[in-house]
Amino acid sequence: MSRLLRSLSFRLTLIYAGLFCLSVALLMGAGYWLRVVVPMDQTRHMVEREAQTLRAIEEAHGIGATAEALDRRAQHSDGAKAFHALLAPGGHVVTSNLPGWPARSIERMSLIEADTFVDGVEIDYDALVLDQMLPDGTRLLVGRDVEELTSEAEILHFAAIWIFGVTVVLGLGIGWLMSLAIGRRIEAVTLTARQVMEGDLTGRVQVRGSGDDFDRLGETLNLMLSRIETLFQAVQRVSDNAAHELRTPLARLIGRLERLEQAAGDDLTMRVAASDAIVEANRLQQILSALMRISRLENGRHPLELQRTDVVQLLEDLAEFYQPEAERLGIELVLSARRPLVADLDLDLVFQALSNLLDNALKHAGAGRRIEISATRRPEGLDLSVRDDGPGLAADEAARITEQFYRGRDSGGVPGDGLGLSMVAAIAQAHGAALEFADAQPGLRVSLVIPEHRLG
Amino acid sequence: MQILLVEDDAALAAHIMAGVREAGHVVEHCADGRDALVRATCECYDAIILDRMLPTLDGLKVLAALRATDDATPVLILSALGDVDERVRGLRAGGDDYMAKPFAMSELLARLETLARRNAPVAEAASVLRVADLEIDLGGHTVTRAGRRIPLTLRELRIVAYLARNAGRVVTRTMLLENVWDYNFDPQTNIIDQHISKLRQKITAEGEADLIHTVRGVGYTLRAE
Repeated sequence: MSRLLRSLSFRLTLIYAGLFCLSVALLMGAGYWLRVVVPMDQTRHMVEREAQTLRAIEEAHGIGATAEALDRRAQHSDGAKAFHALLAPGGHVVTSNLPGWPARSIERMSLIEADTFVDGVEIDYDALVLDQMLPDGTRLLVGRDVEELTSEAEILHFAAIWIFGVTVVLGLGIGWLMSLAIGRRIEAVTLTARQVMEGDLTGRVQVRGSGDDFDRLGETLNLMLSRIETLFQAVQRVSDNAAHELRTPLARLIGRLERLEQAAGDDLTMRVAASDAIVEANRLQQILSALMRISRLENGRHPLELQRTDVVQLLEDLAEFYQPEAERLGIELVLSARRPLVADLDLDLVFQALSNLLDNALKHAGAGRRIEISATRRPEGLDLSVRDDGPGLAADEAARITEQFYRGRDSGGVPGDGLGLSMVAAIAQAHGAALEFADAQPGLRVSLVIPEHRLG
Repeated sequence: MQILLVEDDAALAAHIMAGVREAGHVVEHCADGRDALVRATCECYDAIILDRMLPTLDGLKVLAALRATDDATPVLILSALGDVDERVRGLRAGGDDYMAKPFAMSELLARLETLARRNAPVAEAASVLRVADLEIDLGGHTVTRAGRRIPLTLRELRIVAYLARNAGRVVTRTMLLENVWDYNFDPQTNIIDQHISKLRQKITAEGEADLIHTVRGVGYTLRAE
């Protein structure tokens, strides 16, 4: 429902329906004023004039003359039927053609129902009557029929209700249909954009061929996507080929070095040189495979294998794996997570990411420090954090730290190739997760926040 | 051992053959997928080293065809496709082990040894493993040495059990990581060494011989001297 209200097309239709209602209201108001209000005013003035005349007669010639004048008026009335009632001071009815009136004078203009039977047929009348008490106690009611006007007003009321009702229903209905139709077209574009963002570059917006605005938008987007895909594939081919073509020569290189090491026999210098070269070649191979892995993750070619995971178990395994190393370095490793904490994760990737983070913390925190691994559920998602109380991170470094091959300023003597955090960032991205670096005061806290909707 | 090597890169194949022969095995080589399938089905090998990207028939298809004929010859897949999901794909297709190129010859030999032994009629399901005076009761989760009970964590028990199953053979760090830990990941530091050194301290009392030997540049082996 809120989605419908937020839809632009629906809101536009609502505004249109509102404006339409307003113009109908103005039109009907004008009609009402011309057909009902103005004639009613004319009748009122006429009744007031007649009442004044009759009152003058009463004062000049007495009650009898007034009764005669009233009867004459009733018989010879032209236009609207004339009504009257004349009551002597004692309440005795002198003359009347009204079927009834209020028991006590209300001293003003009012509408009195004055249905009359003629030959057994009821004729509806509505009399606009001026009810007044004369100074001598005589009560005089003078009126004219306004049945036509009141029924006109009724019809107009009735019509107004129907017209507004139908307009609102139609407006809402058409608005809903329009937002549905337009929303569907926009949804198609959104879905395609999402699909492409998630790594499937073959996604295209479906074009209907009607040549409408959305088709033109779709065609333009498709051209753009094709262009992106071509460029992307070109880059991919280069890096894939480079990586793949490097592997086999590297394998041969390591092979030859191994033979060299064996051939060296008892020549210790040769052996050491060869084995050092092998270590370097292996390092090269590790960098290469890490790079390939990061690139596969970044462009979404490494499919996630989500499985329901006991997050606490995962952290326990992680802590257990690094415990001997932490002991060697004199670092206290603390686990803070409470069961049950279950989420759908790619076990291997998340373990890899946390392992890189913990590895970094162990390398950079320094002896005697404390490292805490924690898992908590936050409103934004599952928070997996590694926190140390070491030297921390300079504020200006946080932005660059996930760049490939970037090494922190103080990491001179620490082994590493500057790919660990790039890998973590790529894994985070593949999970739709945020990688946050925060000052733990003292130290550094790195959090992987995996949004709940991705957790299933 | 009789080993079939399927590898289309001539230089690499020559290197592997030299290494495998030096280790005392007999090795045959073919560079083509279809040829490999014919040979593997006609002859009996102790293990097959299989490349994935081959001319005429893909390595995984060769493997699938082989497994379809109920041939259980241990297959070690050796591929430039080294990512975790490729590895999983290779193992699911029926591979017994998976190695990414480039690789160290020592690692390949160590894996071949354990792989070929897997096929041998050894009491794999035995619940008590013995190496020298070290006794590992897998059912009871207990390890004793010369009658002295050694308290181990579950992980340490798994490490020592894996070493004991492959007693006398070299076990590389990667093999330990793959078989003892349940995650496919790549630790940046050599943490395995720390685990081994802790385990070594626990099972070696004052005056006792060290049973876990380091093989320089390769890995570890568990044996009595």
